[in-house]
Amino acid sequence: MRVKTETTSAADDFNSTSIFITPMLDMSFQLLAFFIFTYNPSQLERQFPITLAAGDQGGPAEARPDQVASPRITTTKPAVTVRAKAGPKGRLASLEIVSAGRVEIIKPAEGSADTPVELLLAELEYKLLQYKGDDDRITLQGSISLRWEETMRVMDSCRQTTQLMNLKKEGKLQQYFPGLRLEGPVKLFPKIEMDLLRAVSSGA
Amino acid sequence: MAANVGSDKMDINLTPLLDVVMQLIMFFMMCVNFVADQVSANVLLPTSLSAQEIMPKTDVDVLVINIEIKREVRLNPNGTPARTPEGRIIRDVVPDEQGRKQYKIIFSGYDESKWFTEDNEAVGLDYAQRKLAALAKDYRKKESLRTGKPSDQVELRTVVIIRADVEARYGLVVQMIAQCTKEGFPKVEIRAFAAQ
Repeated sequence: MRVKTETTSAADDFNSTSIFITPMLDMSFQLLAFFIFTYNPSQLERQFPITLAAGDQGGPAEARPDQVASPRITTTKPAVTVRAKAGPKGRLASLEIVSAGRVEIIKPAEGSADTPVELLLAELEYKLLQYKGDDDRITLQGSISLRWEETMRVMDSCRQTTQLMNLKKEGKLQQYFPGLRLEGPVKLFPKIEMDLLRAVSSGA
Repeated sequence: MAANVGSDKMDINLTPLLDVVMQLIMFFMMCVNFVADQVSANVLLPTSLSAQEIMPKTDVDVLVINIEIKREVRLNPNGTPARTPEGRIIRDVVPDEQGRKQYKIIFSGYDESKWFTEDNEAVGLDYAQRKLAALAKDYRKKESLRTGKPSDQVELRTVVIIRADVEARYGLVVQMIAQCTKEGFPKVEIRAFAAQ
């Protein structure tokens, strides 16, 4: 009786049509391990929108008979222009804000040539806070030799008060800018125009 | 008795496990293929705090221009690549004999200029100008097929994406953008890494 049961169960096993999942699972784990080890996510890329300005004079864009599609060149005079000047090795040496014929220069104090770029940018943001009016555009002119990284930082500072917020986080805001109250990051100039025709001379 | 015989056989049900594993494999495979092939991985982009999310562009063509600096992976004494505290591989700038940075302009990830330095930037800019003119012509043709207008009357819709290395000179990037606008490309985007 017992023997007979065993033989029937063996016959059942033989006839069963189940798939062997274990080898498939082994293979799947191999694949999984391969993809996990080769997983190398690239750093997240973002876009930095700019508009393109023909020059700081503005005025109507000149007609180009040789060209059908003309680039989108703004035709009104921008209110504020920021000039970024490069020093040795393409580092940011000084900044100028030009508005209504007035030029304000931001540069390291005499005798302290090693002023960090962050402080120059914080001062730029501080000044731009006072210029913030109806105009939402700012024009950027840079030295040819300025490093691209520094250019991006200047553009960041033109857009919002990031460096001032950093100073606030470090508790140094009152030390450098006494009397300035900042609740959060303030949006400055959302539209940044790059001046494609004009470059500024380098030097502090 | 019969019930006892059945419960003697212990078996783990592997099917749900397999399902999960397959899902995971799918995820990692998708991530591997996600990297667009038009970018040059050697370009170290600047980080920007105010950069925005990239909107996917489905209805317009995209032209990626990489401005690359010659860099080399820095090696530890034991031969493994050196990494930043965040785990990124460090690449040092490789200057030429006179200590100048060496540039290369790469279109869409594969069409590239020779190495050039800031003293003979014309090499790269001439190359870029010829390439941009040819591409603008192609895109105009494509656009005229789409709209039915003659190819010298259509407006380009191609978005140019500039990926410039942090060490690139402002002058070179601006001249590249100026060339793009001169050829009639309506929109230029600058790429940056998201700040942590």
